[in-house]
Amino acid sequence: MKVETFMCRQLYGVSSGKSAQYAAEKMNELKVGSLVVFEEGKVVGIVTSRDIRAAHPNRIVADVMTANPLSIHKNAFIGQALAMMEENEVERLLVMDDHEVIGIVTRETLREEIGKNIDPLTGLYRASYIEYLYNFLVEQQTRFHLFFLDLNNFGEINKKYSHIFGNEVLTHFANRLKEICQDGDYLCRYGGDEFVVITKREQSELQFFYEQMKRPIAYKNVAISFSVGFLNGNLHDLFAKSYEESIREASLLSTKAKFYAKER
Amino acid sequence: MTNNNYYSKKASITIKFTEFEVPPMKDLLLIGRQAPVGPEAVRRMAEALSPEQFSIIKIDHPKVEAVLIRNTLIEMIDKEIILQIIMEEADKLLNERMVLRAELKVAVSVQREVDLA
Repeated sequence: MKVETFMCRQLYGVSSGKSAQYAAEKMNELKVGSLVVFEEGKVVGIVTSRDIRAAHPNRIVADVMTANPLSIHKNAFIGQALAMMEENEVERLLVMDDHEVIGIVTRETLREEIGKNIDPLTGLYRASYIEYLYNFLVEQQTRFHLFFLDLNNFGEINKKYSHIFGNEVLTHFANRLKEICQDGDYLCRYGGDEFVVITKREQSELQFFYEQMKRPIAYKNVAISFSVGFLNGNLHDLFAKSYEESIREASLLSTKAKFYAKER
Repeated sequence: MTNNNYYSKKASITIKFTEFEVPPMKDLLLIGRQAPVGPEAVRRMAEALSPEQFSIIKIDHPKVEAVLIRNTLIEMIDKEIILQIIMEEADKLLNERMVLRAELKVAVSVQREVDLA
């Protein structure tokens, strides 16, 4: 799920002194939505069909383009690239290999790709996405923490109130998680009634996050409870563990928590 | 049978010579947001014709995108003051598709008194 995988390698360029009309014709001819703008061999901007539509056709490309375009490294995670585009309200990023432009990636492409990794019931990421994210953070040596959440007695809820009701419970629970999450938190429906949260929060914020998570929750007067397996990235060397190992460990911790809760 | 119709095709040429002013802009150009030339094109033109004599100032205005101004003017009077005056006056004349040329002269009068020894 690196940007490089989804970028367009074919870069079409135009000189900054050409007219907007020329750029429009070139885009039509090449059937592309944007051109990279060059000046003396250097990339100075991106011009898109939207830029062209908004401008007088006689203007030169330098007056129509988006100057100093945003760029991202080819090894960046696609979620990071999409967030950058959404934050800056741009449709495209240049993809760099060190100082060289090697491609262009569009918001549409990344949205589509990330959309394939969204669980249709809850709107959370699927396990495949969180696995890529985990491996990316490990590769980048970015410290993070992992929560494994497992709903209690979900099978009984399904049996007692129907599977449709069970699905509503899952959606309700997912929405609660979304409410308490912020930038740097990643939510995933791991499977069935299991959820994974990866967070990059500071140690000092973890306790508060956990307390928010554990606040009582109910759906149509049916109490929803869950058990948590938590791997603190400051205490567990997640960089040395594979995704599977960490999930297994966190899952076992949640099972133990469930067992102790029953004992009590 | 003969064709008596007369047919003629002529071109009339009119030439009008005037001196090309260098630079073709005077002291100011106000560039509308939808004008056929944008600030960068104007900057390049000014730089090619009169190097280092003009500056482009981009402004936040609904109709005007930028002002090309002769450097000597903003060396004499604060840029913000000049821009405020220009925009107040031009706002009534300009629409966003226009490029407006303006002359702006600054006359400084000084009167000083000195003590007579």
